[in-house]
This record gives sequence, structure tokens and C-alpha cells, in this order.
Amino acid sequence: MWRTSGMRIVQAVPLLLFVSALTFFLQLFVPGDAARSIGGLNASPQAVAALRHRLHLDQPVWERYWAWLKDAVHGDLGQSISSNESVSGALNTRLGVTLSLVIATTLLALVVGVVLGMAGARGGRATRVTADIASIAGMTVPAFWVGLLGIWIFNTRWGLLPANGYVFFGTSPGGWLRSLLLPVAALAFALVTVIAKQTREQLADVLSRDFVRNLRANGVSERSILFKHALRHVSVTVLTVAGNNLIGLLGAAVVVEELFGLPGLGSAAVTAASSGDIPVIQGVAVYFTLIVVGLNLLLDLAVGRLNPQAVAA
Amino acid sequence: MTTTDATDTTDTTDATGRPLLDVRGLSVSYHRRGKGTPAIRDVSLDIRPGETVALVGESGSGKSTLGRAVLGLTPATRGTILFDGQDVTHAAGARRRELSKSVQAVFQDPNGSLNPALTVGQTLAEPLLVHSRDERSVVLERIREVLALVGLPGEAAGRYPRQFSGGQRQRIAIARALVMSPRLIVCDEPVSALDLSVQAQVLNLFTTLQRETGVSYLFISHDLAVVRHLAQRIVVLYRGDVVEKGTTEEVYADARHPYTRRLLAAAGIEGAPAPSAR
Amino acid sequence: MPDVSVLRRVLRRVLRRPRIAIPAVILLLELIASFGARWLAPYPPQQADFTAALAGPSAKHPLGTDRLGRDVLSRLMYGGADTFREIAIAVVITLVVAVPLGLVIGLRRGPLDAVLMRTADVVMSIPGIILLLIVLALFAQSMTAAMVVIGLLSVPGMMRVVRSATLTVGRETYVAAARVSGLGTWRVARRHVLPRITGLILVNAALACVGTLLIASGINAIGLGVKPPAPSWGGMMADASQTLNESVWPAIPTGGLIAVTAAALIVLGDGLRDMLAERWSGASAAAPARRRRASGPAVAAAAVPESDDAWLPAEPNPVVRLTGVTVTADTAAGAVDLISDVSLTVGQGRTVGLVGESGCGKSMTGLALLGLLPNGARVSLGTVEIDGVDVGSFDAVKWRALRGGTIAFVSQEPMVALDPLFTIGHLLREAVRTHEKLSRRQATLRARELLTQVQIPDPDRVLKLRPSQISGGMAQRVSIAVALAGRPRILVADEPTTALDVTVQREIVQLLRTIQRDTGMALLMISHDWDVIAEACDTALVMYAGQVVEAGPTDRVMTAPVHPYTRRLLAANPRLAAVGEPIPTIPGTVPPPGQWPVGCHFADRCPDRVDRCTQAPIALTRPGDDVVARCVLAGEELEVSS
Repeated sequence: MWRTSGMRIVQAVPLLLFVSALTFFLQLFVPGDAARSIGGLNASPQAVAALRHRLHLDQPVWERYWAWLKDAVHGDLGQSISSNESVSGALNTRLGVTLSLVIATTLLALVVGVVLGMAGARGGRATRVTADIASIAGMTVPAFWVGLLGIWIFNTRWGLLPANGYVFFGTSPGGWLRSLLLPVAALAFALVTVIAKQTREQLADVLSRDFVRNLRANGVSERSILFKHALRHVSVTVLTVAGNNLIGLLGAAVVVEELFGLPGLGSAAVTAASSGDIPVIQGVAVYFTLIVVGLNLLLDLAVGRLNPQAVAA
Repeated sequence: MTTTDATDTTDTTDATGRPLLDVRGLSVSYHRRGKGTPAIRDVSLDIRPGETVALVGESGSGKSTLGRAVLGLTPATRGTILFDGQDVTHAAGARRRELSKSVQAVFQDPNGSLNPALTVGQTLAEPLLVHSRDERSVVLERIREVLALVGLPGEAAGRYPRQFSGGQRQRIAIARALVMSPRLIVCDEPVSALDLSVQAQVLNLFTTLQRETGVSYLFISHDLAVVRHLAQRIVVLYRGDVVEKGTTEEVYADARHPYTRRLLAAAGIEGAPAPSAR
Repeated sequence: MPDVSVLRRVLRRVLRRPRIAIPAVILLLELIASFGARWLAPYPPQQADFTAALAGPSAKHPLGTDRLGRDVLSRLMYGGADTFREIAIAVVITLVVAVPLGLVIGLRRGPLDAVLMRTADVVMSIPGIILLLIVLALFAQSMTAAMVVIGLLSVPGMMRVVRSATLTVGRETYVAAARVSGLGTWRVARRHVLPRITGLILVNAALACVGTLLIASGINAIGLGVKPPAPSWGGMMADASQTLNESVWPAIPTGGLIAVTAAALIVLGDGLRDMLAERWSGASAAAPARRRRASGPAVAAAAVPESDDAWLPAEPNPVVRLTGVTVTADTAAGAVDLISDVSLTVGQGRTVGLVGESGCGKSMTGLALLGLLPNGARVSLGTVEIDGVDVGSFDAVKWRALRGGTIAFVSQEPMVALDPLFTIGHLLREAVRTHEKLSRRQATLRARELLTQVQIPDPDRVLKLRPSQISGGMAQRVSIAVALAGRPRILVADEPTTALDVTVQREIVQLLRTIQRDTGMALLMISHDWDVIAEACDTALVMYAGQVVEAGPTDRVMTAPVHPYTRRLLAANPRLAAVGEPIPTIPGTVPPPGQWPVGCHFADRCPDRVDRCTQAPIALTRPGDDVVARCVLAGEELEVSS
């Protein structure tokens, strides 16, 4: 288990290099004047010139990358073009928002997904059909739309939950929870159905395996088979699924942050992307990569505890 | 000790006495995580035209690995494989294609050995399509011939594998091996997945085909009782090493290696002469 | 014109499947509406009508209007063309790159495989959204550039799917056989692999389309990519979000359309996969292939004469007794008997062997005894008694009390018989504590004792191992230990040696004998292997096509078989047959359940057949002291030979 964890951490270095390099070298593919392309068609010649200067677009790209890398090693990810703030400083305050969102969503989806999946596996035909439809809905309904309808129901109609903004945990834990409920629900919708489906399939698979028949044949109770043996197999699968879905979850989180006006990394990246604030996006790339590596590491450790072989393989 | 003349039935033997297949000092290693684990070590054996040599061992003995190496499905790490005097150890591309006219295979699993999406005729035509541009009628004629050889009606060509029983599928697999009139067939546990009553049918078929076509077999099996009916000579593999080699009579009457004796005991043959027929 | 007829046949096949036809029609209509928007849309996309802003559906505006009074339907139609073009760019790139790569590395393996898989790992760890944002920023919000990136980012996932499916298909022996026939990698891929995995690729392509659709609309929803006022599905959702306080309406058709499109894609992918899979799964083809005289099961079952169980070889102190048991399964083709009129008794300390070829019903008999028949199968006739109690009416609770303690089970494949996620110690402790109230420490001691009983050296070490860390023979010993945990009175062993190496098989049989001697347990040994039966069993029952056809002391059955099937089966055994002459064979194959003849099940293959054999079900008779057989000739033959 420690070997794989070590591998994850070691692999994080080339991954970070690769992602950050991509953010620079993609500029090589921009046709024509990069500054004009970034600034947009409506930018004045002065603005474009300023942009070129600020982004050091007059220097060779590898030189820029090398300079960025040297600073990045010391924790300096450069300055935002639009606000002049330090990128790492600005993003540090936003990290908590995105982390809260992603972790809460994953935990909620795991619990709700497994419970629904196990209930679905034991139900009859009606349950099965419902579960099938729900799992297709989960794959097809945009998170933005789920959030939109959530806002309409819980805010516009019933006035129960805030539609916008974020309350820091330190300010008011209750407010923090309320501000996260709708975004988390919008994000979790898809993941819940994925996990419920996996739970259902894995459960059906495990319960049809030889060792389950042998457990039954030798008198072990159904309860023990279901909640000890089957649940452990399900957990391994489901944690792996959650890990595989992290990247997609981050993608959806960007959209959801924007919809609910949450001051997270995602909304920072969106603002930066529309204003050509390249250093900020590059910074978010680094943070996102670290989040993916870190959370996957945690999930690996959990899987490793449940199934030492899975990690060895 | 491998040169006993007990196989006087092999009137098809090459006049020069040159073996058809000559495996010399063959080693195969599988690489897992950088470590090379040898599957077989320094294995030598030879098969003369019209002869059957059995390769016997349990799971993990490397017997299938040797078969796959001869077929070019697994690369050899060391040693040479001579076929008809030519080095074919690393034959690839056009040479391997050429070789596949002469060396064919029958595998264990009668369910997996035929593509379920192709008709039996399509499967049987496959080697012909690779090797020649015969006309359709010629191909069809050849398919009918080989089906007849394995005791199946010509209509079988139009049907799908799922419409046949395990034993019949194994006959079809044998027919595919026969299409190119090969000189050597590598048989990897060809009867072990079959029921007893069907096993005998297929074993007899192997014997008959050899008599009629003079083909040689490398017969890979875990079961010394089965092997006795076909092989003139036996090679016993244990964890990748050859531990016993000799004519069938020698091995059954006077096995030297304790492992061979255990295998014989497991096959219900404890050095005793074969029981007479009931 | 053959082409037309083929087309028509395909079309008919497709239309008969609503799960393909419905989504296909939906997508087709959307495509027509989108790419023909210029001619078909009721309004230009930008035409605003402030007097009718945020209106619900009406005759004038079938899907209502947005906050500027623009027609929602028209805007959806105009936005659709971009959406579909975007999906096409991304998914085509993914497929064109990933499918050939996956096929090649799956078939060839080697260094290229290693390198590409490592690369795939890295690329799949990239947070794709951020790359998209950068590309949008750099490339003047070009959706095309973004789609190229999505397409490329999806390559590793698709490649892995194709590779692993290729590996699975590549392990099939027919692929090895094709290579031996001289086919090169490409030909093998095209001919043998690609057709098998097309369904899977279609499903994943559909998922890729859905993923692209959701990402693209998400990007537009957060105001990137397509710049308003140009219509885009995502942008329209964003528009709707700004006027939620006034009306939720504009949000409904936009998000709804995305969901419907995505769902149609997924259902279509699944439907196509299922249609392709049916070609070789044989699910639909098996039914018409049914041969003559499918014995109308219920009728046949009733027609079987109730055999007198007085024939049962004298078994003192019977632990289990099956009397005239018929097991019937409900299949698509109706009720089918899996075993018919099976009677057997196992006495305390005795070993009874059930011997026969695969599909003859041996295992089904064992499962009937354990109350573990597969779903849809039931004991339809006869009684099962365990310890003198008829278990026919037992519910799950009563069965559980019986299993493990009175009757226990050892199965064929030891490597899959134990839960791989738990240690041997855990599994044994669990088994022990199912039957006895013991502390953890006491249970561990008992577990050790059990491992010693099955002759495992160094039990303390083995307790800490997991099933994958021990050999097959050792795993079978552990399985036996688990079965012994409840000190059962009878053990049902279903092919306990078959999956093991030949030299290990004997040790397991001897172990079972030893345990039996020490504990006085009864043993029902199910095996196809005459050697195992000869070595272990006092009594042997020979089964053929669902019936017991012969029974008696093992010695007698093997040396003086009466039933023609037993005789021929023994003669066909390569172990017993003479070397140097053809091995005697039985022509034909065992008929599967549902295709049993009305009379003797072996009649079709029997050289001694007479007219009586095929007219009515044959009963078991007892022509001699040690002889029980289901054959009309049994008595006569005995008279002749004696």
C-alpha cells in the first residue's frame, strides 16, 4: 500500500511538470499574434501591446516556462494580470471553497449512492426500472441545469436556501453548510447515480460468485454475507469509481461554482479565461493537479485498507 | 535414450533420419515488473516425421509455454527451434506465415477455440485465404474434405460454432489445423476439457489422422493415461525443467524421476503393465 | 439489387427494436432541425420581441420565449448545428486515434504498450477543464480548438477500453489459432477482434458524445466559447438562470433538450451493442435449434414411475435421503427438468459417489440437497430428508440452522471458493462463530485446530494469509476446514479434486477419507473421475442425462457394470482401455435438459436398444442383490450372464 502511495506522490512531479508545460507550450499553436488572440477581437492595440508585455510574449516560450518554473518551486506562481495580486495568495483563499465542494460531494455521493444501490439491488422489477432510468438521468442531465432547478425550487419558490455566495466555515458553520447544500447536491446528482449503478452491478456480481454460495452452504447468515462480504467488495469498487470520477467532478465544480457564485478556484479560472489572465489559469492548473493527486492518494489508502491485493496488482 | 527403435510403425520417417522438429536448449522467460521468471529452462526435444511426442506436466510446468514458443506465439529467450532443419526460432512476418503451412495447432478449450461470429466454413477457409488465392470452389472442396476427415458432414460448414457440442467443436478445431495439410500439429491439452465418452472419440481421431496423413504431433497433456494411447515418446516437464525423457514403454515401465512416478500413480498406472481390455 | 434487400433487412431489424428505433428517430429529427434551421426555424435566432418576453409555450412560440422575447425553439435549432458539429469533432478525433492504438497494443503488447499505458495514466490525471479554459483563453474562445482538446483528452480512456477488450478477446484460443494460421496483427484485429468489440466501442463512443455535449454546454453556460447573442444550448441555460425570479420556463426546454439528446445517445449505444451481441451469444438462435421430442417436461415428469426406494443399497443410519427427486427450472422455453427421479441415501460414516459426465445433473442433485438450487429451479417432485426431517417446507432460517452444522459443502474451484478480501483466519473464525458462541481468541484456537485437522503445516502462518497467497491444493484444504467448522454430519463434496493438479488430487481424496474415519461424518462425493470414486466411495451412483442409471457397491459397479452406459463409459476411459488399439467410444453426445427422450435417456446412443427402450419412461429395478439399474434389459442380461 505504501509503495503505491509513494508511486502516486512520485508520479505527481512529472504530472505537474507536464500540466504546467502544456499551459505554456500550447501558446506555440496559437495562429498569428498570441496577444491579440488572448486579448480578443475588441481589444485596442494598446491593450494588446500591454498584454504582450505583461505575459512576456516577446520572449521565447521555453525561457518563460523556465522562469515560471524557478519561481513556482519557491511557491511563487506569478502575478495576476487584471488584479496584480500574487496568484498563489489569491488562490490560497479560494482553495478551501473548492475542496469543501469536492470532498463533500464525494462523501455524500458515496454514502447515498451505496445505500440507494443496495436498496435497488434488493428491490423488484419496478425498483430496477426506476434505478435504470435514474442512472441514465445521472449521466445525461447537466449539473448546471440541476443547480438551476435546485435554485428555482429551494430559493425562488420556497426561499429555504441561498442561491448565491459562500459563507466561510469560520464565520458561521451553519451558514457554510447552507451555502454548500445546493451546489453539492447539483454536483452529487450525477455521481450518486454512477455509484448507485456500480453498487448494484457489483452486488449482483459478488452475490453470484462461488464463495457466496459456499458461505451460504456452510451456514453463514445472509446479513453477514451482505454487510460484511458483499459490502467490502462494493466499497473497493465504489472508492475506485469515485477516484476515477474526480477529474470529471472538478470540471463540473467549475461550472457549479460559476452558477452559485462561489469564490472557488473554478470561478477564478473562468474569470481569468474570459479576460486572458493566463498566470491565474496556470496557477489553478497547479492547484487542480495537486487536488487530484491528493484526493486520489486518500482514496488509494482507503482501498488499500480494504483490499491489500488490489494495490499490489 | 531417445533413440530407441520402438517406433517401427513410423515408416514415414525421413530417409535422412533428420527430425522434423528439433528444439535445442530452449528457454522462455516471462517478464513481470522487470524480473524475468523462467517458464522453461534449457528444454530439448525432437520429433520425427509421423511421430507423436508427448509433453507431460502439471500446471506451471511450462508445457504450454513450450508449445506456444514452437508456434511463435511466445518469443524464446534462449536456444533454437529447428523445423525441417531450418532455424525458425525467431521467424516472423512472411517466414512465419510460410511456416504456418506446415505447423498448426489444436488448443484445449473447445468453446473458445472457434470465433462464435464466423461460420465453421469461414473459420476453416481462413488459413486458405492467407496462403493461396484459390478459387471459391477449390476452397469449398477442401473444407468438405477436412470435415469428412474429422467425421463431420459437409453441411457443418454453413453452421455456427454454438450449434455444435464440445466434442464436435474440437473436431472442427482439428479440421482447421488440417486444412493446410501440415506436417506438425501442436496439440495443447486437446481432450482435457472433454467428457470421458467424447475424449475417446477425439483421441481415436488423432490416431486415425496420423495413420492417414503421416502428420507428427507434439501432444501436450497433464494426463499420462491419455498420452499412452498416442505417444511414442514422452518428455516430462517439472517447473520448467525436463526431468524425464524416453520412449513410452520405458517411462511407464521404469520411470526414473520421482515426479514422473507420482504422475504415473496419479494416472492409476503404478509401474504395472497396462490392464487388458474389458 | 442485393444492396437494397440488405438495407431493407437491416432497417426492418432496427425498427423492430424500440430501444434503437426511438432514440435513432429522436436524434435524426434533431439533426434535421439543427442543420436545416435556416429553412425550418420559425424565426431568426436574434429576432427579439420585447412585448412577448419570457412567455410560455404558445402557438406562436411553441417553446416560449426568453428574456428578450426571442423564440426559444428557433434558438435551440440554430444552436444545435454547432453542438452536433462540436460533438463530431471531439468524438471522431478520439475514435480515430484511440481505436487503432488500443487494438495494436492489445494484440502486440511489448514496449509500445508499456509506453502508451504510462502516457495514458499521466494524461488521464490531467484536470481537463483547466486545459480547456487555457485553450479558450489562448485561441480567442474557439470552440473548435476546445473540442480538439476534449477529443485528445478522451483518447487514453477510450484506448484503455479498447485495449482491455482486445486483451480479453485476444486470450480466446481462436485468436491464437488464427495467428497460427498465419494471419498478421491487422488481419486478426479486423477479422476476429474488431467485430467482437464493436458494440463496446459504440457504447463508449455514445458516452464520449454525451461527455462532450455536457462539457460543451457547460463551457457555454459559464459564458465561454460561444459569445452571446449567438445561440448555444449552454448559453441559453445561462440566460435562463438570470431570470429565474420571473420565470423558470426558458430553463426547461434548454436543459431538457440536452438531457434528451444525451439519453437518446446512451440508449442508442446500448441498443446497438445488444443487437450486435445477439449475433453470437446465441440467446435468440438457441430456441429454434431445439430438436425433436422436447419431452413436455411436466408430462414427462408425471409419467416417470415412482421408483421404489427399497433398492437403495443398505445404508445404516441414513443422514440424508432423496426420494424420487425431480428438479424443474423455468426457462424461456418453459419448464424444463434438470434432474428426474433421483433417489439416494447416505448413511453415517459412509461415502456415496455420484459419477457422470458434465450436464448429467450431479451438481444439481448436490445443490437440491443443500437447498441452494439456482434461481428459477425448484424441487418439483419427491422429498429431501436430512436427519429424518423432510426439508421440503423449510424457510431460509431453518435452512441456515441446518447448513454448516448438519450438512456442509466443498466446491470445485478452491481459488474462487474463498472470499479473496479476507484472511484465512478471518474466514475460519467467521465459520466457527456461525456455529458456536466463542470469543475471538477461542475462535482463533478452533481455527488453528481445523487447519491442523486438514493437515496444513504451520497453521499460524496460514491464518494470516489471504486466499490468493496460497496454492490451489492448500485452498481446497482451507475450504474443507471451513466446511468442517460446524462439525457437519454430512459433507457434500462437488468435484473437490477436478481443478487441482493430478498429484494433489489424490492427497485431497485421502484427506477426506481420513477426516471421515476420524469423525464418522457421511460424505457425498460428486465426481466425473472414476479414480476418485474408486478410491473414496463405498457406493457409486452413475448418472446420465438427469437420472440415476445404475447404483451399487463401487467395486461391483466398476468391475461388473450392468447398464450399457456404465459399461461403455468405463470402456471409453483411456486409463482402462488397451493401448495400441482404438479406444472404445460411445457415439453421439449427452442430450441436454429439455431434449431428453421419453423413454430411456441413453437409448439414442445405445447399441443394445430394443423397442421397449423408447416407448415409456424406464424405472429403476433391482435385478440382483448389489445391482440397481434403469434398463429394461438389466434383469435379463443378469440372468444370461449368471
